[in-house]
Order: sequence, then C-alpha cells, then structure tokens
Amino acid sequence: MKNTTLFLKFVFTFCVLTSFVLSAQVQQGHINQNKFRQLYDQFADPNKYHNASGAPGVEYYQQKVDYVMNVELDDEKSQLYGEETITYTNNSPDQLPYLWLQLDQNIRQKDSPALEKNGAGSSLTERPSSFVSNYVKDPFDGGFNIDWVVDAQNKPLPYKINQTMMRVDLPKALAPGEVYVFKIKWWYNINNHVEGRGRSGYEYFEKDGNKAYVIAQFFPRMCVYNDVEGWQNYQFWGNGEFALEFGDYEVNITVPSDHIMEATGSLQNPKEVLTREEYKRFQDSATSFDKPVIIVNQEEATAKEAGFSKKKSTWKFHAKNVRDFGFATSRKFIWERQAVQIGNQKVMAVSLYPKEGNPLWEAYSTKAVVQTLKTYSKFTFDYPYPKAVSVHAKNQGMEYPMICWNYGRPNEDGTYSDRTKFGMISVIIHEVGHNYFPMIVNSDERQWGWMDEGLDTFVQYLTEQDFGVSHPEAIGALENYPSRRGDPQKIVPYMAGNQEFISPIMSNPENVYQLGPNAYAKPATALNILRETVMGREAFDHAFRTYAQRWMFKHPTPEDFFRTMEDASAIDLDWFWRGWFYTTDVVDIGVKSVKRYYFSDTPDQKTTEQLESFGYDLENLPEMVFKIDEDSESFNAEQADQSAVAGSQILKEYLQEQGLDVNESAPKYFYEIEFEKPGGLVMPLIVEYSYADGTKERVTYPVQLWRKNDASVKKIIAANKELVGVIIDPDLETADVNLDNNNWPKQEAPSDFEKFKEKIKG
Amino acid sequence: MPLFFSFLYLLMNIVASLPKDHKFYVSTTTLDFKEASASIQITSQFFIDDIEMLLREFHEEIQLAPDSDKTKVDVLFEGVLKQYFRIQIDNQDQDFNYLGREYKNEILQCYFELNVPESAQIIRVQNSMLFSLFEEQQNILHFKSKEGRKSALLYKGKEHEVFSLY
Repeated sequence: MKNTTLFLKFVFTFCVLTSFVLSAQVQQGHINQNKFRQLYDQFADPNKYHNASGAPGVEYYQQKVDYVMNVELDDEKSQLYGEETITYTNNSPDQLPYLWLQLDQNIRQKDSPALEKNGAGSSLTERPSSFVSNYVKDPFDGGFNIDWVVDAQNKPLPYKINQTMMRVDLPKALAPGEVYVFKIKWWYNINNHVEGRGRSGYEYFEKDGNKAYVIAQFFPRMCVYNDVEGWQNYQFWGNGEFALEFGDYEVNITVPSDHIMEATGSLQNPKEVLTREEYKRFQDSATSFDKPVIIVNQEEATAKEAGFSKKKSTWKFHAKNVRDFGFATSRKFIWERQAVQIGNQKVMAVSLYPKEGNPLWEAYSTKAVVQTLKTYSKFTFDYPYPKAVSVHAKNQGMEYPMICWNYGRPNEDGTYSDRTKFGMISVIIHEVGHNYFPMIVNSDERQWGWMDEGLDTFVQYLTEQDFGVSHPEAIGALENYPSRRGDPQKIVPYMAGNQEFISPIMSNPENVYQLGPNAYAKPATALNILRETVMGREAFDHAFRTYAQRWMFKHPTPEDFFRTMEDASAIDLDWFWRGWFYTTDVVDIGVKSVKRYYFSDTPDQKTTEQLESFGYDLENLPEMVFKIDEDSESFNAEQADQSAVAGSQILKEYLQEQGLDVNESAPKYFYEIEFEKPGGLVMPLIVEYSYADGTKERVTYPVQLWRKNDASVKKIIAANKELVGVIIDPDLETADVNLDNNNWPKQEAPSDFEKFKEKIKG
Repeated sequence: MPLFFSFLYLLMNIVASLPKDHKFYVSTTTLDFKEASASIQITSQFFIDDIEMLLREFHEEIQLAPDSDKTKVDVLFEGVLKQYFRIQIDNQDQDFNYLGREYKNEILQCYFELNVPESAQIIRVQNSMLFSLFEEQQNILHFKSKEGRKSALLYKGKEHEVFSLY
C-alpha cells in the first residue's frame, strides 16, 4: 500500500539519521555475544567418533569387558570374597601400556581422603550418637583388600593403587584389536548402609537379627577408555558416579541356602537354588501377564527369618551387554514376578522386599516397574533386557543394570502417608528408568551427572503422569500424579536463587552446591519446556527417540545429544542449550507498556518537529497519515474511542477508492505493546490478549523475536475490539521467575509470606 | 600435598557415597526487611523428612505430612525453631513471632516475623537448624532489603551471619 511504504521510508530515514548522531562518540568494540550464535565455541569439534549430526561417527569405537566371577558372601561377618577373570578387548586404534580399574569400596578406607568432609570444625550442638561415631568408635575398616592380580598364566602383574583407582601395568602394550585376560582376587568388609550411608551394603534388622544386602560396586571393575577422555580415571569422591564399559557377565554368588536373591542377568540354575514349590511358582510367573506371581510370600519369608541356615547355595547369573553388576540377597525377602510384553520381547517385572515393606510394596512396587517399562519404551526404545527388579532398601535410591534399590517403608503398624507412597512410586520409576539412562544410553556419569539424571528425571515425570492415568486409585482425589520435578514453576525458586550457589548444568557433579536441582530438576524441566513449549511434542519425541536409539549400547557425549535434537527436527536449539545448560540465566519476560494510538491526517507537535529536522517541506508533504499515541499532547480520547481510522480523511477516501468502507474494513483499535526481558534467557513470547467483548486470543511469537534486541521488543495489535488485558505466559510454561511484570494492567503477585498471613487472618 | 587435600575438602560440601535421587541437605531462609512497616518477614524452607527426623528426637512417634498430631507438631516445631534460630539486633536478643507453616510437596515452609526497632544498625542471624543431625547440612540465608540482596551459606562451624539494616 502506498501509505505504508511512505510511512516505512519515514521510519527508516529517522533511524539512519539517529545512528549518525550516536556515532559522534568513540565506542568500544565487542565480540559476538548474540544469544543466538551457534555453539561452535563450546562444543567439541565433530570428528569421526562423534559426528556433526550427533550420531556415532564412522570410526566410533568402544572397548568391551567381560567378567567371569565367583563371589561368596559371609552373612555372619558381613564380608564378601571374590575372584574374577577379566577379558578386555581393545577396540581402540591406540596402544595401551596399562589398564585402569575402579576400586569404589576404597572410598570407605580408614584413611580415605573422601571420608574427611568439611574443614569447618565443631558445631554449637552435638548429639551423643554422632559424638560417639565421630570421636569414640573405631573407624570402619572398608576398602578392597587385593590378594593378587595375575595374568592368564597366573603370573603376577605389577599394579599400583591411587585411592579409588588401580593401574595394572602390562608386560607388553595392548595393541589395537588385541584381547587381554587377567585375574584378580579380593575381599572387603561390607558396610552398614543405613548407619554409614552408601550406595550399597546391608541393613541390620535388630528384631529378627537378620541382614538384607544390596551389593554393588563389589569388584574391581575396568575404567572406560575412549576418544574423549583417554582413561576416565577421575577419582571417586562420592558425587560423580560411574563411567563403565559394556560386556558380558557370568557371576556365581554363594550365600546361605535360605537366602533369596535377585541380580543383574538371568538365573541359570533356578532348580538348584529354589525349593520345589518356589521353582514351580518361578516358572508360573513367566507367563503371568496380568498380575505378579508371589514366589515367596510374607508368611513364608517371615518363617525363614528364624532359619539362619548353615548350608550354602550358589546362584548363577548370566548377563549380556551390561555395564555393571549388582545383586540383593537376604532370607527376609518376599519375591514376586510378573511378565510384561514390550514389543516383541517378554520382560519380567520383579519386586523384592522384606515384610517391613508391606503392605505398600505389594500394592505398588511391581505396578511402578511395569509402568516404567511401558512409558520409557514408548519414548526411547523397547526395553532390551530380560528383567527389571525393584529391591526395597531403607533410605536408598540407586540403580544398576536390571536391578535397583528403592526406599519407601511404611510405619510399623502398616500405615503409610501419601508422601511415603508417592515417594516410593517415584523413586522406583526413577531408578528403573535409569536402565535407559545411563545403563543402556551409557553416558559418562563421572563427568556429566545431568546426562543421565536429567534425562531420567524428565522421562520419570512423563511416566508418573502416565501412572496417575493408568492407576487412578493410587492418586485418589488428585487430578494428576503429584510430580515433584518437571513442572516449570517448580524450578523457579532454584533458578531465582542467589547466583553464588548456582552452577550451570554443564558442570562436573563434584563441584556443584545444589546437586539435586542442578543435575536432576533443572535439566528435566528444561526438557519438559523444550517438549511442551519450544519444539512441540511431535518434533521433540521424534528427536529424543532418535538420540536414544543412536546411542543405545554406546557412549554419547553432551554434544551428541544437543546435535541430534536439532539434526532430527530442523529446529535451531543452540540458543536454548546455551542459555539453559551453559549459563545460570533466568527467564523474566514482562509487558512494559501498552499504548493506544490512532491515525490522523495532521501530525502532532513531536512528529512535526521530526519531519522538520529531516528537511521535509511541511507544506508539501507526500500523502501520509500520522500516528497519534496516548502520550501525545494532540491525543483526543474521544477521537480514539470512535475508531483509530475514522478521523483520517485520507484513509477514508483511499479505502473508498478500493470499494471498501473504512468503518467496516479497517481495524478500529491500534496498540503498540512493548515487551521487556530483564531475564537473560531468550524464550518464545507467549501472550494472551483479552478483549472487551470477553474473548481471548493466544499468540506465541517465535524466540527469534529477541535476536536483534535482547532487552525489549514491540508488537502492534490492530483489532476491532478494545484490548483490556495482556498476560505473558498465562499457563506458566517458561519458568518465569518474576510474575510481577507479566500482566497489563499491572498486577503484583503477593509473596508466599503475604498469602500465608492473609490465610491465617481469616 | 596437604594443602592440595585441604583445598579439595573445602570443595567437598556433600558427603561421600550419597544414595541416589535422594538427598542434598540444604535449607533456604529468606529474610525480607520491610522498612515501611519496620519488620522483617522470614520465610524458611526445610525438607519435611529432615524436620520429621529432628522432631522425632523429642517424640518418637511423630509424623509429618499429614501430621499425626497437628498441635504437638506445632509446639515442637516452634520450639526447635526458637532453639536453633537466634536473632540479635544491635547485640540484643530478639524474640520473633512464629506465624505458622505449610507443606509444599516435599518442603515444609514456615513463616515468622519480628519488629525492627528504630535506628537499628545490624542484625545477626544464627541458623543452626539440622546441623546436629546432618554433618553436611547447609543453611542458606537471603537477606533482602531495598539495597538489594545479600546471601550467606551457613554450615556446621559457621552458623551465623551479620547483615546491615541501614
């Protein structure tokens, strides 16, 4: 339209002249700080191992480590003895003069540096029990005792232990493609994980004198050697978890004959270790798809508690393509198994718990395992292992391939709160979910905690919501499952907190103050926002599934995840990864002002002055109309109320020439809305406009809106109805930390304190 | 070598061998200094599990969320709060008015306030909540006033911070 072109020319000229004025002072230059710049500066360069698509490159390699182990657990002394044969295949293109192994139990050695915690000194208060454990009792004699390390011919191998890492020096460097076999014998004292805390150990039940063992990290195991880290031999300090290779395990575990055990892998000799009745039920469970078969019930388990059998049984497990091994054993265990169809394969969902877990565990544990298998498979790939086991263990929440430990203990009288119930269901989902991340999509946990915790917590959230739908009786009167993490608003307190105590997600887990929000909640919430608000479910789900399938049974890096999500969706996400993962910026978007304006044939004072200063001949202006906004002294409220265009003869006539009536064809209300962005993060701008006739309109402006102006942007609304309200992010999808500026007319949100005070007054 | 290790100890704020998905021991307290009403509004957040454990030292059977005995919990909780939270303004002990508490998911959020005498200069806030139970407990304080926000991280051994009121 002629008028529009002229108006635009006017605006352009104005801008160009303004910039000449500003350039009179000398400015300092700057580097590219644009929030939309690509992440070349942060990412590792793509290469033949991890390509630019985010997929394994043509020369991607990973080592393979197989274990054959014979292990015996001494129930009375709480000790574990073991012997292992390790077969290490060097698939790398490099010569390896030495091998590194992880000795996690050494973190509990008497002189371990990791046992010394704060350099803070004493408190003003001290409980007698902690006084005793700190100053009186003998320290726990933990750590591996290595009997020998020998080669396949039983010749001793030189080795050197540095805290939790052991280096085995090979007589000849291991060449690419070669396989090395060696053996280790060891034993260690198993810790009480309830008193001393730890990811494994035993719980002692005073009433019946029994222990329930959850055993993991119980053998010297190989470190990862790869193209990113070389040897991943960063010490185990307690927070950074594990980097492990895939391989096949054959493990024989000797325990008292009245114990019931579950472990990573398939039980090879059930007939040998189970009673006739137990074996029959065990077989039956393999075809029980609608509910679990209880192989050892509560009555039977309780009776066994008094047994203390002196006989021994050896349980034999085989596991293929796993990165670790864990097992749980006790005579106290109740054992139930159910079959689940996942794609073409049958998977056993298993729960193992002492009577102290009932009635809660019989009610929900296996159900939670089943839901996890179904939902996680839907979002990634069909669960490829033969089973998933949930073991009850006090205060625990820890995962190993095919088996995990979970808390959730009712009161002694069998009652339990909602908090306990939902806590248990959530932790079971979370830990079983870890089979996917990192047991199968095997990221380096020692370096990047979020890659498994964040991704797992995200799918956990989706699973919890599914659980609430498939088990409405579990959530009772609630509309949805009460997920603790995932909803954007829940991450606001953490993100809005003091920057001194916040680290970017892309940080090593050992160096982070608030590890929970940092590695679990924030990345999970970010992915949720990515799915719901930025990419949409279809694009997100496809890209997420692509990532999971590309990297199942391999070792992905953060770049692989970030690249795949873009590669598979055609949605540029560098701004999102940079903001959410590499910085601690927050989202704060608000509406700064809403200004009404209308068109007039005569310019107001300000416009006249500008036209004059640009050398326009005011007597001979080309045909154009002028904006008169609210702030202008020429603003005539009556005129504005009539219509934005009716006051302009020029427009009226112009439209008439086109055969259009100005009152029917042109919008009556014009608004210039300025949005501001005090927060560092760029996000799509979600606005809900409310009109006088009661209607509402939702508009989502793309995030690219902010690419040339990070601080504020303006939008024009031209409508036939009067605008009465503007709300930014009405459904609270963006984790906006400050809702005081989200409304026009302005509405300040009361603080929790003020809300509470109001509540107790009334 | 020893210096290297002490540096690492300082970095290690959280205990070795944590169980997963579970705990990091942190509480957050916001002290909002409202000059207009000469009062400080205090909002504190703790994990329900941790407070339950603390209250069980006094009464074994007590349960939180839902409360086994609301009145008893109120009394006990206010009691521990007053024991471990000590506030002094210009070196004078200050009593605070406990308003109440509410549960938000796994958090117990409690509210208390105190009046600020005129021309008060400094406030000393001691928060030793949960240090006796957990070695690695950290209590974060955020002091907000019209000047802005100042924060402190308290832990066993460093249990108070001083903020200026003028």
